[in-house]
Amino acid sequence: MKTVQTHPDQTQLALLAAMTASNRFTLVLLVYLAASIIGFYQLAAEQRFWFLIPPVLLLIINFMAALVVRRVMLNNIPLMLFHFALIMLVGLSMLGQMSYLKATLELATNEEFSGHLENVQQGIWHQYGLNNTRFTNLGFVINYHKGVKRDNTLNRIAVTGIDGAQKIMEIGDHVPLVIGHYRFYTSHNKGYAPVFEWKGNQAKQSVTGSIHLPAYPVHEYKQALEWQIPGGQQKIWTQLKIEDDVLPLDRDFQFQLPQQHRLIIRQNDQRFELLPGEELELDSGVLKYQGLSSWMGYKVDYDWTRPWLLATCLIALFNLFLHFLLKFRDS
Amino acid sequence: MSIEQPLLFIACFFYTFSFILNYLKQNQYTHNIIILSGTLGLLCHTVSLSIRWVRVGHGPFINLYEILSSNVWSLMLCFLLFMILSKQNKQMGRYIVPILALLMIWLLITPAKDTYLPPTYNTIWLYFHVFSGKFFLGLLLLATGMAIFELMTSKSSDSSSSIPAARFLSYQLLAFAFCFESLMLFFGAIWAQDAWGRYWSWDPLETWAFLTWLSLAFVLHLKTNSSYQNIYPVLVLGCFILAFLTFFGVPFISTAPHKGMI
Repeated sequence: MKTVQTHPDQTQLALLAAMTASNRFTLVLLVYLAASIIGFYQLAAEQRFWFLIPPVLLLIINFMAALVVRRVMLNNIPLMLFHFALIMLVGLSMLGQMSYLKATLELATNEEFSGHLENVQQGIWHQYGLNNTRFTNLGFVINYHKGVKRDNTLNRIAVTGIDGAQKIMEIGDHVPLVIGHYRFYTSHNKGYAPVFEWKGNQAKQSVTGSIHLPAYPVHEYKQALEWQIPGGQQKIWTQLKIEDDVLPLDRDFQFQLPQQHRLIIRQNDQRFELLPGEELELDSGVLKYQGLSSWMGYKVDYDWTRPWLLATCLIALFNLFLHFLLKFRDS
Repeated sequence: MSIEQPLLFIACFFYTFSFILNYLKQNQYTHNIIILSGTLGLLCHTVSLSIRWVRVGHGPFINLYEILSSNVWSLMLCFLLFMILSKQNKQMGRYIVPILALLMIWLLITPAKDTYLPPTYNTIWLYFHVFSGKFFLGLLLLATGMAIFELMTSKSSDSSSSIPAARFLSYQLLAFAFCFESLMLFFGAIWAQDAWGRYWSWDPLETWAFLTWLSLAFVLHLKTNSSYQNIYPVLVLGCFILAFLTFFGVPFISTAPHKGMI
């Protein structure tokens, strides 16, 4: 009898390949992935993502090895496509994580978006693409049901195109403004914005602008803000004192600007009260309260992978159902 | 006074009667009474839920009371359909009745507070998400019932012929439970994108729903490995416990299903 000599390294390699491709290894890795999810849940958001990569990569290796070594699923196309779709989902999620953007934005009524966002979080590959985007908040309507229960937000905006033409749109809780892969949604944050005109003693022209008081009605009793006068070091504490019943608890109502209100201004130890149209002489200039407006908060997000994720999920689901339907067809 | 609550009590009375009959000696007569009593309960419950739906203006899936009520309804529907379609496995009923009874008692002691549908919940994707979730839990409950049936039968001496059939049925139900959970996660992601501008954020409910999905994937993979067949029924039961805690435990750490996402 003729025996074939096998090199010890080859035997070990075959053993390693068999182990990597085994179903038992899949079970171990699924437990490892579940443990990682529970473990990384305690970590900060930016660290979580990396925690999941090792078990997911090992699962992909395990699947590929099973295809090559054990030749599983080669005659089961739906199940194979389901697994490939899952791998595709992982890949797209990683790409999305590298290039995403999340941010917020506040615009007073009739204020134009200048391309500047706040509270920006973004992936390392993100290339900011909103520098030339312009739209104006034209105001919003929010109806409340009895007991101050908010209904949908309807926000009118004017979007300025590349050619300078303006297009009027209505966006809201479920209807975003979509520019490229950037989506602007209205948020539940909105409030009052006193509009001031400031003329410094040395300035030739006055400056007009608004301050955004804390969100209303969430911070109903905190309608105050300390802010700095443009071009100076002076700080001013401003409080809105609403004298109307703009939040009736016993009936439906609409978010509105109070007809009866005044501003309380504190500077150093002095206290002033201003009605719309009234002026206040300060050491460095004259501050005129023009009137009350409102501001709307927006959530902005960017993820170019979303349509691809949707398509991949559909492929995965279709093949998963198909696999089990075919498997159990005869029974 | 609305008849919504009295109808629910009547439904629970019929359910209880149906539950008790599962523990009597099973013959065609008791089987028919179980189906009839359960169906009458389900009809009363349907009318009660419909009245509430019309009155509050949205489906029953906001607070604990509504989620318990709609889940008792959907699980009873799955249970009755199974009892009608799979007569040879009618003994299984006695193993899932305690779970249904537990949910029913929990429902009866939960205050029936009215709820308000936040604007972010007002989307068709929420309905797809909820209905696929109910299918998932119903199928998993039946798979668990069959797994417990297998466990119990394997301990008795006259059992050997029915075990493979029970195992196979449990596997089929578990496989489709996995499909519907995948669908639930998919619709949930679309809803979250629509409502909050992100499809996944690892909130407690999303995290535990994904862990449940992984646990089902684990059992389905294990099913293909002949070395571990003995622990299969125990693992199916484990999957159900995890799903049960995800559905009825995690959301109610806060007052809303997805904490802080109103």
